Amino acid sequence: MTKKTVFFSLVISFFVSLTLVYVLFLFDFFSVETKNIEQQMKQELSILTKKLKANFSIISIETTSLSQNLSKKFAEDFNDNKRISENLTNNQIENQELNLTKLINDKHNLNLGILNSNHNLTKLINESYTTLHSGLITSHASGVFFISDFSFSKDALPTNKAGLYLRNLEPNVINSNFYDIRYFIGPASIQREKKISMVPQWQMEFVLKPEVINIFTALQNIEGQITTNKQFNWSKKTTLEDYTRVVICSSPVKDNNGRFWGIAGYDISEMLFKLQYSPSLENKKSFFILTSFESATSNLNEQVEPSISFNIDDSLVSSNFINSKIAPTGTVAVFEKNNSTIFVDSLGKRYIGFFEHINLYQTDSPFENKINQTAIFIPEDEILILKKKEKINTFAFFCISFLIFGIIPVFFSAFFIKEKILVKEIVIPQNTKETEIFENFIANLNTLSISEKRIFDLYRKNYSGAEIAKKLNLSINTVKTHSKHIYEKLGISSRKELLVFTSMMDEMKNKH
Amino acid sequence: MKKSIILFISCALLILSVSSCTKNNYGLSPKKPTTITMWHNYGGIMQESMENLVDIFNNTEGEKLGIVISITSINSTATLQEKILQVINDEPLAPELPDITTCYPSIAVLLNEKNMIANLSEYISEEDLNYYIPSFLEEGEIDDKLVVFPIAKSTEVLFVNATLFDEFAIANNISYEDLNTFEGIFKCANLYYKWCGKDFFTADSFYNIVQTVFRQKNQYFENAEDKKLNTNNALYKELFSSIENAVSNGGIIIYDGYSSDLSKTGEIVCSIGSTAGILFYGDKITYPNNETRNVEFKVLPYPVFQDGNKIALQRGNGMSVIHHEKDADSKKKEYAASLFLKWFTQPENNLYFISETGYLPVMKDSYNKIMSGNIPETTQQPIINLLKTASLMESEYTFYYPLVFDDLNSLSKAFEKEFKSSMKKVVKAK
Repeated sequence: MTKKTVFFSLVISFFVSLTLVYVLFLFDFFSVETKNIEQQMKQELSILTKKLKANFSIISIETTSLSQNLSKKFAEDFNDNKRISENLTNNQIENQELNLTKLINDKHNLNLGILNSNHNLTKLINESYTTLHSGLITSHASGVFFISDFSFSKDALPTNKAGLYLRNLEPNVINSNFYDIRYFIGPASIQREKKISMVPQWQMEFVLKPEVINIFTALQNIEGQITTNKQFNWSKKTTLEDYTRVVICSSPVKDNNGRFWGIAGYDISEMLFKLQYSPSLENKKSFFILTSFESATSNLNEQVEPSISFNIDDSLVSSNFINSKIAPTGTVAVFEKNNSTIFVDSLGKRYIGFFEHINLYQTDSPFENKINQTAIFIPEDEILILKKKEKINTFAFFCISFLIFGIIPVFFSAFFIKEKILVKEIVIPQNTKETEIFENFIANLNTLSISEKRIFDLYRKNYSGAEIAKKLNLSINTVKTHSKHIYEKLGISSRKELLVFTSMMDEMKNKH
Repeated sequence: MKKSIILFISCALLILSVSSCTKNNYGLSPKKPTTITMWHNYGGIMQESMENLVDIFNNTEGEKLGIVISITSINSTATLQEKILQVINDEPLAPELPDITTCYPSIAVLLNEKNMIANLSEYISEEDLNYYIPSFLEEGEIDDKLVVFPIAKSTEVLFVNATLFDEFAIANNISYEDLNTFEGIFKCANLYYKWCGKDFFTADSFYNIVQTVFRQKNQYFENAEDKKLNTNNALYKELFSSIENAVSNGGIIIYDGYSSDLSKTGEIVCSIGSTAGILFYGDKITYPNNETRNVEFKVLPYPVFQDGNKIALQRGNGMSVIHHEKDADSKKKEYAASLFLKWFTQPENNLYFISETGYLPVMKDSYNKIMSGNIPETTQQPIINLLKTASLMESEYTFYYPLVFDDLNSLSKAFEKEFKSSMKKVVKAK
């Protein structure tokens, strides 16, 4: 094999290997792990979103049902002037003239009336207790509340509202055999009567955050013709008692006469969300969020980056680990790049993932334009590590392939079948001088002694000097002496020549 | 040449074997982190503090050592115990146990019987353990094995609404010293009742008062051999009679909920409860008519009965590390868990946790730091007051932990119910 042949073999195997790598690359052979992660993320997002939608739909139904039950109860209990009057007498309330029904029709008067008798407001809240408590036990939510439109305080701000807020520290979805209901907001007298544990952050009444006040007003102003079961609202992440971060689903408590008593509903705490919707991507730090952004109705692919953004402070976030260095903070901008969705937080931390639109409202709901999103993402670093690994794998595959198709065959050829190839490559001499030598070679074959003939025959069979010595039980020096005589008699100067001529002899025999 | 290669390989092997003997890290590697799952029962602010510390650990020491702590369940104590019992009893729908869980000694005994709990003495040296409060460690020892590791304990103290008490004290010529003994408290209660017609004192658990008074008088209320409570004992009769008289004289309320409920509405002046209850005492009280008043709460050491010894109850659970028999990595996880527990209890980390929650630190050095004012700047004043009292108690009092035997839990609950029922009859009769 000539150097030229070796060079061409290597070039061909280089291109064969390169083509193989390219073909496999086209079939994503080297990015299986990245694709798997992406596939897993898509699947996980789909599963969690479906689960979330189902659970949230149930809570929406439970919320409207709760507010209807309360409306009915209040209407029954407080429409009967006689009963109120009896109740007031029994409880020795100073204002015997108080008629709550009449006062509810006139908000201004109502507040004055309530100021004269906190007892009636306490009674109103007390009436809600059983409905709220039983609702919470059967619900998949973490808390239940009734926020009345009234306050115990004389000079109450619009944010101060009397009501009741109970939370179950062991929600149904976590533990179906056991519940642990705590008293967060409400009159102390009800807590004593119901023998329910107070929490350290207990408050007598609500001090509502702007987000909740807006919802309160929006629900109060819903027009009567909208079906009751569509009158509910899902908030952004907020808090009802300054400590626990929740999203609330609320519905107006209105009776048939259109009188507004307040709002009622359920909450889902961030902890419950974490426990219920923790993404399970194997060995990957991942986040699942529920959020909403106002500009999300347009098509993302048509937008210039960044397409949309959302605020982590308004979103429920669930992750399968605890590490604030990795968790997103502040406003998160969402980009579409190379068929991937990239999330970048306010500190510049980058994530890769997917998101889905989710509609929590029914058609014709007063809030049907509010579009929520769920998203799943993992830190970009995790994907970059995988991609680096893929590059290494691709290069390693190319090297192995080149080794298999190119270097190893050449190596074998060069060292193990070198002589056979050399013999095959020898061409029968064509010029006169060489023909003469060949003729002498054949003519003098008969002059070889028996010992020389035996050695000659073994040379023809490609034996080396050492092998011949071993085979014939001779010393190597004896073989060398015989070889010298053979070369002299046949008119040749090397073993190579001997092999060339014997090969020519064989060819001639074959021709004949 | 050959000889020198053999010599080099022999040396390398020797160094490797010696280093593996002296510092066995059970295969922990920062390149391939080991995830440790954890269950705990801390809610609210305590949960937040725990999560913050886990976050810090994962970002610092955990990252260096290759350990990631993952909290997989947060439940009430009762639910956590129920889950563990399901596993112990091999129930069909039992969950898989985590690597670390909050645990009481009574549950640890059962886990130990099933060989499902790790002996932390194997991973934490005796020298390191010497830095911890001995009685905190002793409570978690079963069969000479350290199976419940203290991470934060609590004791009982007297919470006093100083604003209300000061007004009362001036008018009636009494002082805080009167609150050092049960007799003094009963006297004040009677005076207060006569002065304003309101209640003065209650306790979260009268069972705890009885068992602590017994220890103060060098006796045991629990009879572990017969598995019953010594209610026929002369000391018990004397104590019962004292409380009965006090209730009869007025000023002591028998309440079924937490005493802090009554403190928050200004219905009592002082109460005995767990130090971990400090978060229940804010800086204002809300009267039933929604009027609020700014007040100051003081924390006083546990009262003593009739010149008894200064002894207080040691409360609070600890952390147990689960031994997973079938898991090949169990030893590695146990070691990783022990490193986390050691880190968590180091004064700087432990003080962060307790300064947010009102629990007590578990290392001796932490108390020195508290006494020298070396506590996190963010610590709120009520917790500072509490920690100072707790440190005083650590030096002057002896903490004792209750005996553990089957049925003690149900016995103590039945006693509490019966005791309160008897006292309520006295109130009614009054």
